[in-house]
Amino acid sequence: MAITPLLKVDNLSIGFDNDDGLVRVVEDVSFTLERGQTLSLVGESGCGKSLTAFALLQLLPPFGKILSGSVCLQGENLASMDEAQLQKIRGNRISMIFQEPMSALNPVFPVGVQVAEALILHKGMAKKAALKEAVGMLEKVGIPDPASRAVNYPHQLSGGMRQRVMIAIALACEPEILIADEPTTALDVTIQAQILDLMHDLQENLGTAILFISHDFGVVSRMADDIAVMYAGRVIEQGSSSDILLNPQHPYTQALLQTTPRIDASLDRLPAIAGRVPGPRRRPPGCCFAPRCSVAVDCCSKQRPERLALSKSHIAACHVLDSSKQEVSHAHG
Amino acid sequence: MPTDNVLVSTRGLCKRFKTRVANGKGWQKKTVNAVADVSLDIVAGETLALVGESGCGKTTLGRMLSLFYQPSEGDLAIKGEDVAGLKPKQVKPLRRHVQMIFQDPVSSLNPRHTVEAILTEPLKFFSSDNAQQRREKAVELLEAVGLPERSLRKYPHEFSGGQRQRIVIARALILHPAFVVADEPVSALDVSVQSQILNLLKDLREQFNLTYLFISHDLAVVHHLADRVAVMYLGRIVEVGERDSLFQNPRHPYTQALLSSVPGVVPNKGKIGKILHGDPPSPISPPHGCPFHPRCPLAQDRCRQSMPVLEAADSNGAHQVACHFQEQAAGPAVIKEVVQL
Repeated sequence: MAITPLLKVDNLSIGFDNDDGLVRVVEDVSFTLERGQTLSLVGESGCGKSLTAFALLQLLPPFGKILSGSVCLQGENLASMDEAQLQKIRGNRISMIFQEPMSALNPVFPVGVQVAEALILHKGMAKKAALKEAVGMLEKVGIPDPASRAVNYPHQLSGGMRQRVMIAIALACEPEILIADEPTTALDVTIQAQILDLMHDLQENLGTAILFISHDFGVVSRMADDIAVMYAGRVIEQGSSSDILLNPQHPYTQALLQTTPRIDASLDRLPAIAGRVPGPRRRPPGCCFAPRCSVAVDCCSKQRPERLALSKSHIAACHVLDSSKQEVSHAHG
Repeated sequence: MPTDNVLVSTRGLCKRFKTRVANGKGWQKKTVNAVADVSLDIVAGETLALVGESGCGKTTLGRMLSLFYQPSEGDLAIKGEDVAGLKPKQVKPLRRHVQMIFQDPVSSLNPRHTVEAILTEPLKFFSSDNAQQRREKAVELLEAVGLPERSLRKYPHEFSGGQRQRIVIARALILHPAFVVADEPVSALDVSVQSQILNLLKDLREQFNLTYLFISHDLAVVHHLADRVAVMYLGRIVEVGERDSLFQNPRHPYTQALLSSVPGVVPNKGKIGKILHGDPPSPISPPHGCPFHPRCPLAQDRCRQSMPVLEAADSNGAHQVACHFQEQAAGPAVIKEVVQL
């Protein structure tokens, strides 16, 4: 590609190094993110989707480290930057919304001050101007009566309001990339709909690229241009939203879509995936999904499947898929 | 509504909690009307789902029906026996007929008890079985929920979330209750595990002749499991009906908004559009008139002044709605919009 993508993650592997030795928790994750686009990381808990997001900002826990691969923001490798350089990027060019707004907001500061903090740090604004701007941000994210809300503490706001404050903080510096880690999981459906619509508006107006992490295919179908499905630390299938949702090829993606209860279909029993996700220390040598897979063959339990390009945009890693497809080792979409 | 074979019946059920609210100068005593004027009949063998946003009172209603809370007002009868106003000692013999499955399987299992101790504890209170018999029953229940016998000696932390929920279910069923209140039993679980537990709940319903009150905020899950659905808003039931009737022909504007907020699973990037604005009002100071009017697109003066009551919305009265303008709300145009969304 001639143009440098906004964000390019290449063969990222993350390990935990603790008393029991090193375990690889995320392996060979690659994707790109373009301006104005939304990429969704989908998977069950423990599949490494949040960890991947934290690694982008170099915010791994103390025992976690990037083992290999690179994260490039417009060609600059974030993994090789020092803390001071990273601080200029975090909350400024890449910012994040967390799942639980109550624990992500500071309970002892009014929300307006917390929005202003980002502006003071990154834009060098004076306190007074920043507070004024913060009120404007609160208004932008749809908080009614923003001037009087700005002096409220987080506990005085409802869950949906708190999530709006989180979004206001994240967007205060007009970041190029917004990482949203299950931003609506803690919210009711009607409030979830409000927050998702708000994110659409902001993406439209500011051209922000969104990395949207979720376990809910319903929410993802509303948000994503592209989807990457993760299982046991690996991306097992990735493609455009319609590739994944309408034409899933990996047995795990197919099973996950089938087990999702739907309002528009009536089934007597939900097809269930037997067993559970193997922990990082118990991953089988071959394909991690093989023990739960209904179409697994001999080689599935012995050999890691390579990523196959099924079409220009669609990649899956599965032995059972047509072996004549071209192999891709480093490329992706 | 069918009147024969009613297992649980409530009339004008209310639950009020006392609370304190800071008003700038100090604390002020207030009353939260968590559940207000709920009249319901649950027929033996059916699964009634209770849906609504957080804070709407669905858990409080569930806890009253499972005899955790005494109603503040109104009548509650289980198996024809009046419960409201009974002393704790008089309620005790009824408890074996009513059990509860909780949302969070981590906090609802004692971490210092083995699975055997957890499962056999109810039998110690409600049966004359000896240790050997209790153990046999525990093994039987473990098998019913799909766990091996060796689990008896293990502690809750040795199990995954889905397996722990199976233990919670086994404990709830060990006394062979008639009525089970399941309060968000799958919302803490991953999708692939969620479907296993939903299938299990369905199987056990047949096997043990259970009647469920299934409390959930997830309409897709409710659609899968429920026979009938009751929609709650601010402590009141605003719509109740057969599952298909309610999902295909929602009459209350709130039900319609809830249904349209559920994203489908088709690639469809874009705004949801027709959504409710604002948050639900506080149950400490509910709005005058219809509780939904501040967020309702159809609200008129009448809605601000008088509270609508549940009225039949179809010929046999199985589908009931509390809305002054249910005729307008049910117009085919609105339904079409909801389906498209």
